[in-house]
Amino acid sequence: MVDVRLRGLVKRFGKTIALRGIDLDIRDGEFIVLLGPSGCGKTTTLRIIAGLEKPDEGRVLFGEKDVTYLPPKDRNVSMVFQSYAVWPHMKVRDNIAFPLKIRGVPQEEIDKRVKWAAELLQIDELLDRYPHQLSGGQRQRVAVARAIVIEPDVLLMDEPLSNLDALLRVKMRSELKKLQRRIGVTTIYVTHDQVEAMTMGDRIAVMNAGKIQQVGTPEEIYLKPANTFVAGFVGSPQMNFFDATVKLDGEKLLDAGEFTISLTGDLAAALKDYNNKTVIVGIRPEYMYPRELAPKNMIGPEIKGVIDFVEALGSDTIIHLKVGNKHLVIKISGSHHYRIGEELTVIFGLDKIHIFDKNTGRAII
Amino acid sequence: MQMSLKKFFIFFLPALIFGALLYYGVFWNIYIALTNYSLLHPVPEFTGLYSFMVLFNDYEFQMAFERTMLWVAVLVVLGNIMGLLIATAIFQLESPRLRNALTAFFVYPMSLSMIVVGIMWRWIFDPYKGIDVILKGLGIGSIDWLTGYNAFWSLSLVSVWVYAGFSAMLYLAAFYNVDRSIIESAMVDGADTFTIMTRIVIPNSRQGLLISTIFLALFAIQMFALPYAVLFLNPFTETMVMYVYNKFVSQYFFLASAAAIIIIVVSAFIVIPYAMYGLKKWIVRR
Amino acid sequence: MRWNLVYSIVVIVVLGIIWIFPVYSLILGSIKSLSEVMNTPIYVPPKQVDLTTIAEVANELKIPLANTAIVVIPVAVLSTIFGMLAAYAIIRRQSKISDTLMLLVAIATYTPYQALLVPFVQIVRSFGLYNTLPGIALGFLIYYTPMAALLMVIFMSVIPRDLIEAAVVDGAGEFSIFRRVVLPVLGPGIVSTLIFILIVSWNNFFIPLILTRGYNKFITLKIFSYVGQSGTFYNRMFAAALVGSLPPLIIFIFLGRYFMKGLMALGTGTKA
Repeated sequence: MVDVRLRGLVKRFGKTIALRGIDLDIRDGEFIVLLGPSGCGKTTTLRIIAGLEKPDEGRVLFGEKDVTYLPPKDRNVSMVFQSYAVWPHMKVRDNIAFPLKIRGVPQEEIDKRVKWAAELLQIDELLDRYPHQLSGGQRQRVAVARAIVIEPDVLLMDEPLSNLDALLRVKMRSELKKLQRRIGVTTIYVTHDQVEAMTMGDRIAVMNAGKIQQVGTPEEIYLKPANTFVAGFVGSPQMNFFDATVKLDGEKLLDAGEFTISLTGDLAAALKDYNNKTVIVGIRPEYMYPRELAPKNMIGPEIKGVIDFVEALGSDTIIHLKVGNKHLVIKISGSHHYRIGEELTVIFGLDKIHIFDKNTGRAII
Repeated sequence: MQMSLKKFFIFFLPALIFGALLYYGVFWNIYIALTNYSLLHPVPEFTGLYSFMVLFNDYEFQMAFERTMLWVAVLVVLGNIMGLLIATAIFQLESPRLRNALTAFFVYPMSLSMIVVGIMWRWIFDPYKGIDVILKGLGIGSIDWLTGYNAFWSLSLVSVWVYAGFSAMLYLAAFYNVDRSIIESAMVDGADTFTIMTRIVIPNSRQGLLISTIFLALFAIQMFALPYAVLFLNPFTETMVMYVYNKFVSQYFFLASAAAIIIIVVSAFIVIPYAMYGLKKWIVRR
Repeated sequence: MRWNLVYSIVVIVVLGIIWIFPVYSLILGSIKSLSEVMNTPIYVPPKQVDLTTIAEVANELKIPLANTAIVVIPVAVLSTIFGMLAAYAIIRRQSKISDTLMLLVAIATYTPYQALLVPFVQIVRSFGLYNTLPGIALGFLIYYTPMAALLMVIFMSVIPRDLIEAAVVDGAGEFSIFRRVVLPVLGPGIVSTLIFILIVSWNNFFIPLILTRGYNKFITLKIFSYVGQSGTFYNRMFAAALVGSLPPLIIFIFLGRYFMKGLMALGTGTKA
């Protein structure tokens, strides 16, 4: 087991730049998730850690050891591929045993280790089958068993659940997480699925356009997004964003045109450099309430609008509210019914708003 | 992670050796073509483009060149037509097994040696033992299949017989690639099979036409064993490759090499664009 | 019945007759007695099956058949192995060098080898192999190794990259990936290449013609020799052609799908 440190990784493919300087410290035994849209560089980062690609600049450190230019075999890593990459011509047993055979482990030891890995993944009944006789979920277990059988220092997973059906995916999430806790291996997990990231990761590194946008626990990522990208990428439905002008002379408020938000002392102090400038205000749909449903003693800004569209999802209801030229999305419990065309006043806590610099996108508070 | 350059060459080495010999051959050909190497000049002297001058003024070569080009035209046109005819016929059948079996059946002449093909057809064209007997019986009278210039046409038809199945196979592959949903939406619109074939399937099979044309042309340029087996070195069926062989046997090496260069140049015009296009397909990049 | 099926059946039956007619005559002609050969056209079935000619000719073909097998089988095996190794190198290293080599391989495959007559003879002579079986094999290898490499690249390019990279991460070296992962997955592609080269080299006439003297070193030469010496006795020619074609024909009948796959790959550049 080791900690993994990435220092200034840059990777180009021809003219396109895949990574623009990646710095990341991964603790020993940690489950870290690289989260981002496709093409953000998360898989490239993983492949560099695996040793499948060499970075053009930067270094990869396993503990104190610089492994940047070491081939995969000298890193003691293992990887679970999106396609599982289970070899079709080998029985499950031989698939799992392969990395041990390559390392010249004695047969007795191989049998023991294969049995151990197979039992952990509950595929010990399938050892003598060929991959084509297995379901997708079972093949995935074989891939994971093959990855942990060598007790790697670092376990890498590239979207391992994306080819499973929705039900199985939910089940495997918790299983993989439990498995990782049990064997305590440093795990780097790539996904574009924010729910997967939030439920599995000890920490999440959100990536976009070849850069890490924010690293933090799922709570930090959700509650304190560092910039508009993270704020918009994590959370469903997406956070509401609108432009507003900061007015600090006279009554201190955010002027969004159709409505204003009065500022308390702390907020006003935080925004003192932005007087008369435009900022981006963000508020999550789940923190806006129709006034009649709001917690009793809630005080905060109120916005009045007309209901444009209602999505009844069963457990939740998503209301699309038109406020002048602005469009707000509100998420409430599914037990309440609203009609299109109705007027609605929503209220939200001032402590739940996010304010971002309009130019840099960075969070001000 | 990519393979190291050292390992790359270890793996590539055997193929590299034989490939290098082949390219060595090409360059050696060019060298000989620029000399006067022959029975009369056993020690080659550099004579520049002299050999090509001799070559282009050689009536025998002019005829061989013309005939080869005509062979290309016949095989490309008739081979494509027959291939398309066979492919559309097979495409109408439902059973994939029957389709595959019939495709293989029409391809089988390619699994025979051209020598064997030549022997079979030489006798089919025989005025006393071949199909002329049937034709005479029908009152059509005998066709002098192998007399004079007739021989060229007869043998080019035989080459169509050999390669039409290959062309059909390429067309069928193109047909199978036509998106089922396009065909099905046309069927829903009430189009009949004829309309579907002529308006949708065949126009969407340009790739079949392209590849089939390239290969039929290449096969025609390489024509040697078939006319050689049937009529030996008959002046009416002498192709470019036969000319090269002729000059080699009579030890006019510089002429053989110069003619070989012409063959390589003509086929390169066909092959290089195709190989470049193929390369993009074969090498899958990230 | 629908018109398209009528069309289909008419085309297949009419052309089918033309396609089968030569081989039908070939078989009938080679089992006729001498008197029937003198008096009947090739397509008339014999009144009595006479196998003496076939037996006689088969006996004469024994040595050339053996020689051909001695040349062709190693050529098919070696060129397939060399092709596999080269293809693996090309798949595992993507760079300017491998692209260029690949292009050269493709051009070599489609270049008419007949045009290389003079240098081929020269090369084989310079190795002291003119008029020998290894000489024919060398001539074949020069031409069929690039072809096998191209076929193998085409078959290998459809192997999912993850299968190979999973072995890389697991610490396998290149030889062990090649042997334990790529070869077993490639199975049918190897058979296709092998069968394809086996058939086309067995049927080759030009290369043995220019690299040897006489007729006994290769089967196609031997078959050809009957054209000159048998006059109007087509039964002898047919018997030689039939016996000499049996190996490729039998392979085609039973393993034709592999030959077709090879043809298809060379034609379209994709795995059918």
